[in-house]
Amino acid sequence: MAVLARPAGAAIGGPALAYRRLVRRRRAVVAGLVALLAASLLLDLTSGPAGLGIGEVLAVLLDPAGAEPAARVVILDIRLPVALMAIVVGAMLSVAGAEMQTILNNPLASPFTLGISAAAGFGAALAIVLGIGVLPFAGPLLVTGNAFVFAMAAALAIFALARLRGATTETVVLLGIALVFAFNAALALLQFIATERALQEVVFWTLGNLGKANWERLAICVVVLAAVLPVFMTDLWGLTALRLGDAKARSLGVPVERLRLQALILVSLLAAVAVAHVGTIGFIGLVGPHIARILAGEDQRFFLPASALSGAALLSLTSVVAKSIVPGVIFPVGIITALVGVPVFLALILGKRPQFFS
Amino acid sequence: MTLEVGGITLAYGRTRVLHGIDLPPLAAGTVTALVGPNAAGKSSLLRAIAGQMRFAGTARLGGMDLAALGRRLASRRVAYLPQELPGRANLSVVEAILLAAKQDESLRVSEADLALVEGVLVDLGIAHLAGRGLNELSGGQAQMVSLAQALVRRPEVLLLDEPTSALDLRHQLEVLAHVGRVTQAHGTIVLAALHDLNLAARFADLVLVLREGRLHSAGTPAEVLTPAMLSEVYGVEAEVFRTADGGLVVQPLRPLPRRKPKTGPFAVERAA
Repeated sequence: MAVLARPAGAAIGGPALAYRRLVRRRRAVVAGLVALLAASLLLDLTSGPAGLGIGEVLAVLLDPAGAEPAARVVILDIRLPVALMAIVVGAMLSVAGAEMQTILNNPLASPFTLGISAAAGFGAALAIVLGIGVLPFAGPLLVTGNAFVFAMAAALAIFALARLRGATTETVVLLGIALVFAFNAALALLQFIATERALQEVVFWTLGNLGKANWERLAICVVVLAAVLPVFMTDLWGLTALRLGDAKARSLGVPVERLRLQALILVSLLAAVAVAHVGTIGFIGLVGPHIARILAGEDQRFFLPASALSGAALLSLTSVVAKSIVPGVIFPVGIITALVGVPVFLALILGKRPQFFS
Repeated sequence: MTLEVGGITLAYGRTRVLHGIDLPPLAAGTVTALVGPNAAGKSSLLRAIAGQMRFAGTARLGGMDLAALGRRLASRRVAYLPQELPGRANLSVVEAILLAAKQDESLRVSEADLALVEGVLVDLGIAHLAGRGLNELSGGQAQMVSLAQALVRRPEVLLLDEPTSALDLRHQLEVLAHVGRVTQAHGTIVLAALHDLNLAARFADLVLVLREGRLHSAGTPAEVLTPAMLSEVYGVEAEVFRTADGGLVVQPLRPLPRRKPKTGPFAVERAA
């Protein structure tokens, strides 16, 4: 059969070769991101006011018992939980953004831009300022529980709108912006009536800060991420198919509605838990997936890990920057991600590169 | 193996678009063309049979109710090619087709999977597009990829909604000839909505004419594609010629004065 503009001499047998080449390239990208993340972690551990070099950091990591006690305390008790928290939260936010962009078929979707972070922040502030919990018997998880419930409510509102007939991707993003404004206004009201101590705690949210990271908080985030990722992995073909359009995905037997709802719940869980522990950190969930999409494509077998790794590396590097701007001062990472994220995002959307959304 | 479709009624909100459609049994190894003017219900009927929409009535394959099979199993036996082309995701053509083949299967891609994908791409003459991104394809190329995604699932029933709408003349003929060969080789049941009556005359064993959500007529191309049908269903004065090789050529001449519709989607719109 004649073909659609086949180049002269195009080899038959190419598809399998083309696929193997692609897979090699995508594996190399994932490996490269792992290496970048490892380097960034080391850099994060070496940066800080105590002035420890790579040699001392490695000595503590490889042989904690034999290391100098002061260095051990600085590395293991202060820097390591923060550095690991940056990685885990970065991965959580980026995976949340990647799957939101996938299920809503919208490049602007992320927990931050769609108001999920703002909702979680308001929920948390409600618990901090007024002691109001929406989950009964939440106990020590009052703040996290509130953040999760409000994040879920915002996510479900967006999901309901996205399903309305005639709702365009722009409508969904506009609703997200409306949610950001509404929750920020409500948050401001809470701040206005808060006590000084509560206000300080609420400000922690709005700035996004890794400083409160400890092994317990890290463990919660790791458990949630470790619980969510395998669920996504059960339907990677289906998630990839969603990007072909609903009609096409349905024709391949993908349960589109169920998969969307399931992904949305998981994404809300990731975003809510991350925000509940480190506050509002923007742009990681937006920029991380875009970097992954450009580098590793949208086959979710590669896109999902690449998104997690790029988000983790981004926040980890941000953590280094936050410590390096003014010696002895650690800036809240939320400020840095916004400052660095905006130009990166502008470069991504204005740069001369292929568009992947219709 | 036959596909039996009976009593299909379907509505969008309060607007009913299919009114209890019964089709003659569609046999294995045959191509059936579904023709009719815009808004006759062709796409809706295909979507109903494909299980993409809720409807009243039955669609049975080999005596088995497709709705009872569940979406995943039914989608393996019945492939549906929607009019919408695959989006602009950052996927290469070979990945997009592999994705269709591997849906609901393990994440590991075997040599057999790659051979299957390669076979379909080579058969359709688009092997050279394998490494190209979906966002780099022309409309015609995207339509070929979409068809490859349906064929790679080796379905028993192939439902095609305007499979040649974005293709030039040559590729229209080639794609339908290929579908015909697949139909013969695998005993596939093909039901294709087509706007081009000459393509329907040339490639279909059976032609079904829909009008305002009802089956108007059914039969071989020679039985159905007549000046009288064209006048009544399309509102067009036309001539139908027989060619030397026994084929049919429909030659539309001019539109007839519009008659006021009594029922159907257009009537509803006007009343509103």
